[in-house]
Amino acid sequence: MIRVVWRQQRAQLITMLAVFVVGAAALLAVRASMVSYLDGHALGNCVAIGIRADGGCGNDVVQSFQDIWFDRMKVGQLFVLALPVLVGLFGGAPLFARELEQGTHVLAFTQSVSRIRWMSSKIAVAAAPALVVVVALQLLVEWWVGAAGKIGPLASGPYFYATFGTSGLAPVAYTLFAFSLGMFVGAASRRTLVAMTVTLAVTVVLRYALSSLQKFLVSAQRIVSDDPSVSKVEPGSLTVFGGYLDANGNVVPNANSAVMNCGSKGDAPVTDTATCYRDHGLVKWFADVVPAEAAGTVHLVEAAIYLGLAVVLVLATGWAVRRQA
Amino acid sequence: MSTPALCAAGLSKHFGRVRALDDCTFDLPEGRVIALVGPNGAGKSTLLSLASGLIRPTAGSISVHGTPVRGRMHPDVAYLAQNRPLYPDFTVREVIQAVGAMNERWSQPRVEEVLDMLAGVDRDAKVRALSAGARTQVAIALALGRLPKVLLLDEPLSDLDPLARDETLRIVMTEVADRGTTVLMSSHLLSDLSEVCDHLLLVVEGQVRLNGDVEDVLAEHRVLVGPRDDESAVSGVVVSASRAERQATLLVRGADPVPAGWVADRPDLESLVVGYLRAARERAAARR
Amino acid sequence: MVTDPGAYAGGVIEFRIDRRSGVATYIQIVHQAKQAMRLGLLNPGDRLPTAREVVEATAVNPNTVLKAYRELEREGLVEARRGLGTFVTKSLANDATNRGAPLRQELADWMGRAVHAGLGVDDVDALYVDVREERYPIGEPRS
Repeated sequence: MIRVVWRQQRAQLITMLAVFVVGAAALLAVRASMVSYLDGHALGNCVAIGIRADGGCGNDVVQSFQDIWFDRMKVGQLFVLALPVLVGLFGGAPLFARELEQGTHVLAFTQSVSRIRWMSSKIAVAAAPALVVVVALQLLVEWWVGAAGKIGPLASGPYFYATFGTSGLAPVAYTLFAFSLGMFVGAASRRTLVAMTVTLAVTVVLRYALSSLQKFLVSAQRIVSDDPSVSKVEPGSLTVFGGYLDANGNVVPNANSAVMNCGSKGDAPVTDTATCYRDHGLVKWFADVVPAEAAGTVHLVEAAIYLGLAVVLVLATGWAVRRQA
Repeated sequence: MSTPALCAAGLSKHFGRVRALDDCTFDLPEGRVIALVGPNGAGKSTLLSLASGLIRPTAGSISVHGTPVRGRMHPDVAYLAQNRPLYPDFTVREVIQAVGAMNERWSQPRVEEVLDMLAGVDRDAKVRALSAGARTQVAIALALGRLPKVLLLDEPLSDLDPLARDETLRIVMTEVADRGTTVLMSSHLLSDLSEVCDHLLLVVEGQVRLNGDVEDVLAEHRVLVGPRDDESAVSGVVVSASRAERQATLLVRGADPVPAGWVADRPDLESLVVGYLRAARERAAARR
Repeated sequence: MVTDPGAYAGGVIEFRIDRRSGVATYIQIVHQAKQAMRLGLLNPGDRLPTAREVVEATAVNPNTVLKAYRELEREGLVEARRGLGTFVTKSLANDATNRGAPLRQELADWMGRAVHAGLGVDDVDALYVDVREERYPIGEPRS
């Protein structure tokens, strides 16, 4: 059975292999070229410490590197970000829809192989290589971006959208979700084009919605600064909510007017901002943040949501296939 | 006879409000070549799909050699679907291997033997490049590879040229001679089937109108020609009638004895079936 | 044994089925078997073609062939032997009907003259049926 579905999907699998080979070769070449740039401009140290004037890694030195390489690395990350959608569109959506359109599912249904076995073979043969390709390309891009260290996209922290979506479990989870979605809509609608359109729309909308909810996926930690004029947000963490506390430690609801009053007004600059804040009832500064170290947990929670949806979609596909005639 | 090859009890299949088959109960004998006849949309394909397990009945049941068919292919059944599903980008050889891999009981030699009986099916040709006739023949060869006891053929002779038609019939009839397979084949053209079938299953508007040995069915019916004003003298059930000013021509089931003044003739299969179909159409027209 | 163009390796005779004749296939087979027996093409001990052989040659339904053979068996002309086939048990050929018989020869001569006189098949058939119906009125047993 595996051999039969392999033969059926041979064209798509070869296309995917070609995408992988071309993509991997390009990534290897582009990484090698970047590494030689870093070496040639003696930026090795800056990769480790980031933009710091005292380490000889001033803005000017790093800027000329980033002018050339930053967007390229972002394109690489966006490529990995787009892969799951492509797998959903060209792997998942046509998987059952094309057979149902052409009526060839009847050939399998009128042999002794069970529908469940037929279905699971098709899913396995289509999904497993796609996952391998996605993960391999993800690792290559991570390796490349990692080579730029703290002067590349990683400097923006793990929650930077292009970094978050291309690291950890994210690509696998997105891929499985998009694939299952395409597969289900294809099996239910019996139309490849409908399945592709719906997959594209729903994947994009859901990815957007879930990434805007990203900061609510794990419980935030409250950071408090005794000096109300100084925020203590660590770079790379995700701020859920921020503001000021009064003397009793309660959140001050309308802090804006107080903050405005302590701003510079014409020729009478406020010299002691902290005192001014305190005079206006803003005793302490606080922020609820998801720290950079929690990125692994955020990945897990997000992946669990996508994988849960994928499982539901696979079961729904089974239902849709069983009721086909 | 032993257990019937196919047995339907209260079999119904509704698609929404459409009653493709409605409460059909019948037995089909083993080893016969059965013509499944009826107008387009009468429920022939639905009946074959139910018998193969491709679809599930709305009500009732269908069984093959005593084992019920339940939503999946019965091991003793092979089914030639009307659209001849074959993977278009496979070669004939590949499609044979593929179908072999999808079956537990499978005879590669049988498939080869059947294909060898045919003129000009190139095993290395892509399925999409085959003529309609060659596709049908490959599909039949694949069905016979399952070594079925019951062979279901949906419109097996449509879009075949005369030579392919003859070859195809020869394959099917050889199968019957060799293995005693029961064949149930549908056609909306009776002339395709009348010469090779020995049993008739007539389905009209989702219901079985006739089911029996062709000779028996023909022997039960008479075409009576006689005076129009004397129709009350005719016994039996009038299936259909055409009336001129003075003369009436009646297709009658069980018209014994023939009344005086009437001429009786045995109908041939074609006129018998046409009589039933015409009657059905008139009833449908009367309802509207 | 007289060579017949229809004879082939599978059996002694081959049936020809005319699908347009309106005569039921099994009756055609019965008639042709009897005809062959009358003409001496089939003699006691000869095996009739198997259903499979007939099907291969003519694409008829094998059940129809078996039905024809059952009819011949009922008339006591043949006998089915399990696993071996169906064998002719009785001879219908006699000196008057076999190929070399004088009556046949006379008919052949007559038909030669008809051809010579320019008569078509329909004319010959009309003459033959006319004379036959004079001598053998309808209603009398035919065989």
